[in-house]
Amino acid sequence: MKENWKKLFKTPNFVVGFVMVFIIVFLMMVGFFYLPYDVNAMDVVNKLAKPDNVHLLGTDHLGRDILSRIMQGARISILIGILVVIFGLITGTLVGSVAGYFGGKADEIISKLIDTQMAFPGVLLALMMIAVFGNNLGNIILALGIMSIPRFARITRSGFMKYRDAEFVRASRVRGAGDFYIMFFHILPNIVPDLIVTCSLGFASAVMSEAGLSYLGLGIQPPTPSFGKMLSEAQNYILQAPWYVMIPAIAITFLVMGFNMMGDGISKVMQH
Amino acid sequence: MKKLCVILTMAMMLTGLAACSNAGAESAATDTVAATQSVEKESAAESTATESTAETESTEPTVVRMNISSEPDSLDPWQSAASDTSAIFDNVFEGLMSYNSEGEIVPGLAESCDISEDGLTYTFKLRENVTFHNGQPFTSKDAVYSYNHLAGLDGEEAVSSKFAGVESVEAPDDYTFVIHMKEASASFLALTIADVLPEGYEDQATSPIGTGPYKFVEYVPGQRVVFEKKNDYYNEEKMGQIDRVEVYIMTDASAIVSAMMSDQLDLANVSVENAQILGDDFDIYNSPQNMVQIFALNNTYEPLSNVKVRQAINYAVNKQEIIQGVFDGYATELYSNFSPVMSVYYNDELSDVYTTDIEKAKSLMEEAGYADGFDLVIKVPGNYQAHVDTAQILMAQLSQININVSIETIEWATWLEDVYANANYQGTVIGFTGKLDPNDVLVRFKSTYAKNFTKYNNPEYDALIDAAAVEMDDEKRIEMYKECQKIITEDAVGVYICDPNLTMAAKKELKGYTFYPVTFHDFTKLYYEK
Repeated sequence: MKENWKKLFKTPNFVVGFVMVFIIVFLMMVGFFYLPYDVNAMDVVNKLAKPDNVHLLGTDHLGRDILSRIMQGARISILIGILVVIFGLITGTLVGSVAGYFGGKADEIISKLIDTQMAFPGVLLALMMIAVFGNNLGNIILALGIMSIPRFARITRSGFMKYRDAEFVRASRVRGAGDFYIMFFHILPNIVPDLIVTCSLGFASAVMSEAGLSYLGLGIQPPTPSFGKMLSEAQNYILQAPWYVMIPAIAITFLVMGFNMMGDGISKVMQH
Repeated sequence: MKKLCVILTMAMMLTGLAACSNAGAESAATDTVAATQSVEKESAAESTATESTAETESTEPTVVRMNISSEPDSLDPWQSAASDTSAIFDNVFEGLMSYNSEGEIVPGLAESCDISEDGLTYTFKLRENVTFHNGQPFTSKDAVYSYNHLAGLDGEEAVSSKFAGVESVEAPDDYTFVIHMKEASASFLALTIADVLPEGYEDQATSPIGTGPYKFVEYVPGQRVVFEKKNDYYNEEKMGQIDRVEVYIMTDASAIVSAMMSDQLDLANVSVENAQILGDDFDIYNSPQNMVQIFALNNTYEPLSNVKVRQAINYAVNKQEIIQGVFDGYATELYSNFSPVMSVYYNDELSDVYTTDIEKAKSLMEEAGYADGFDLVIKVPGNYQAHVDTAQILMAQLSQININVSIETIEWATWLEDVYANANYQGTVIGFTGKLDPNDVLVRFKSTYAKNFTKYNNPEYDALIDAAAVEMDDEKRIEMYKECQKIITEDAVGVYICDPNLTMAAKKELKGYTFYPVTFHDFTKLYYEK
């Protein structure tokens, strides 16, 4: 295990990704204790101010401090990322393990359902749920969570199919172990590395989807900052105040690309 | 597979992003639409007269390329409802009466109009030398056909319920046209700007023809609408000076700016921010547009039903901060549901009714029993960034008097359904588009008006606005409308924020852009300065 960590930190992809994510997470953590300005304090006279020593990253179109909003906006993005991954991980693993372990009819039904869902555009599903159940954080997480089930379910299913007739499983079965015990104490640990990679990719895609939904004006309600919301508000000022657009764009890039690269790094290390 | 998934998601998001940047730009463009009579405009108008003759003699065809932000909803003016569409097609079609840049009703296809003492008979004397774009002469037959259709007298559904007051029409001779009304209505004359179309012409929806100074040439969906000057136009004064006008359908604000910079457009509707970027290389025309941006309150919602609470909100809102913050100062502060653009009817004595005064607001809240404030949800259509930003500023301002605002951005269609049609909301921020008739502007607060989504109910106001609608004496009518404005201001139906300017950018050589109290790009006033 320790060796793996060492290897990880020698993988360039992982290190770069880690640094990117670390910057955003660090900003967020600092934000819990200290924010330079109130995120909603407006100062319309100093709107669209360039980055300087008063406002390190400048101010937005209503004169709010961009740095403070990035620090707080990171919370929403990361919270959504984490909750979506947890939801997808638990549901997807359960569903996938049943399909992969038992096979037969159960597998067929579950696989078909997952295929159906994969064929359905995720953003469309999220838009539909928001339209039907209302626009709040819980629904967004649920919608994005449902979207992320297939990726976890497929990985788990293929892992379980690979191991369900393995020697150590048969040995355990002969000793009288129950299906539940075999599934979650023998097989599952073997596919944990795959799931970790999937988590990091799932996290990145959840952050991206949230940004997209907020950008469309559907996710987070103003004036609460989130990366996507900030980007969407900034787009009208792209010519007048390019830095205003760049900052949330860079933050999203760091978070999404960072997690993708970390996932890449992990999967490389595990293949060796 | 995993990677493919990520790539697909990203691609999907990108398409999503591209799609909405269009929506955003469109809203930005619409938001900043409309008007203060600027100095530029007046000087332009002066030079128009001198330049016009010179221009018509030139042999090289002159072209103006401009943009509109949305696709025409129909080429048939009777089917079209979008103001963006009529803004360009009003160059093709004309009505019996017309309007000038002051918003006054002036003769159009009719030389004159006599209204009988009782207000029940309108007699129009029609111009004699007018032809449609297909060469067919314009006579009273076409007027009869048009008004029969507009009022639904030909057995088909009326084009607009506003014409319900028409009882019958007749044409005593080729150039006299008479309308008989069921009851007198002071606002009917303003309705006769409705476009008159030729009788027996079936192709209005694909190849529209009218009598206007410009002819329709072609429409390429998603790309452009092209117009050409009518050379034998009957009215020398209103004769076009530009030979050809190409209107490009462009929604993306940044694309419009780059098109201006790279010489692909000569005239464009831009946002205030982008106007500043275009800066010195272009002439920027800026004028209020007769729009009312209002923070509308649902007068039946519990704390807001108390007039003191609504007044407190009016005292707490600092409109100048909104004008600076959202519109960069390019907006006119309002005090009632009426823009000063409509100068005749504008009540200019209301500016002192509410001046920002937090202490006063607090004491009013206390008198109303809401010293501790209450929660208020503001629903805003998310595609109008200006309204969303305004709501954010309102949120900060109202927190000073303990009103805890939360914002809910909703889709435009949802807004129309929930707020506009069903009044299922507490507060909202929206812009009322300009109307030429004061009745159309003020009737929004009449309790029996179907789309009165503020649910304001004041019998005194209802009676006054009804009386004004049938008052044939202009002086009295103007006084009545001024009184109406006073009532809705004092009763604080909502917070009347501002009239955001319409900003147009034009090449330095292109002069003469003129603003109207309704959205209308008048091609005939444009000309190139040598």
